[in-house]
Amino acid sequence: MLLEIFDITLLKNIVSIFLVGFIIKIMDDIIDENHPEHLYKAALPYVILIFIISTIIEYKTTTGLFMASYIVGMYSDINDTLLTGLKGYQEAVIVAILGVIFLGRATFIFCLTVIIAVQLIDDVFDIELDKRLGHQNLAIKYGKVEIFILSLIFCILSLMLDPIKGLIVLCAVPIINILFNKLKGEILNCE
Amino acid sequence: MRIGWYLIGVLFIFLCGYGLGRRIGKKEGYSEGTAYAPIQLKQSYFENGECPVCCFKIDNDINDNV
Repeated sequence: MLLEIFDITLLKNIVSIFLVGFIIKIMDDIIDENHPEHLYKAALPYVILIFIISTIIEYKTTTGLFMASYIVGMYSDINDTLLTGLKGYQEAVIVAILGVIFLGRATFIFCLTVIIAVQLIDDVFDIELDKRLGHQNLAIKYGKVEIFILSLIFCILSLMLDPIKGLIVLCAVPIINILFNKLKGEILNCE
Repeated sequence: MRIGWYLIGVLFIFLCGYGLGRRIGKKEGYSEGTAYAPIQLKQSYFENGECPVCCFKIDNDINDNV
């Protein structure tokens, strides 16, 4: 019985983390890249549908990871005035407060640390690409080794806070990246 | 749990040391480089008879005549 419950919980976590990973990746791609407008319109219903499915499966981790990625992604626009009329950092603070209220301090802090770890690793691997495209990147600003060590610290911290979910997220990231790039390549080739 | 904190502590100390060392090293390297560059440029000019910046070749015959 205990094993069954554990397996179902584990499976739920794996599926929901993979789905929300795709959502975050799509959101990131839509913001960073300049795809044709009709592709955004076509992607939006799928994005909402996948997000709803992932929240039905496991709402705490899913919403926590999404909110955390929203806060971390805000880094580049921290002082810009956004669509809501608020500054980037003000929105980040509001989302963080909502996250702590609705999801609990422990879950939200775990989500934030694991997303920071993933973002830092991403910055280290994307350093050459971002340099070529002229994008701002923490690894370019503070150094490759420094950011890599910082990402290791956040990886360990997230594994200490929630070892199972932390491991799932850290393993899911490269798989999602590969699958997403493959899928994106096929969609753009069809265009 | 304790091992995790130890690892974080070690990594944090390494991060501080590396970051600080790299920044100090960069500054020192820059000032050493700016002090050494004019000497190196002059040496290259006298050895090759060529401007190291624009690669203009100095004609030795003209210099001798002068």
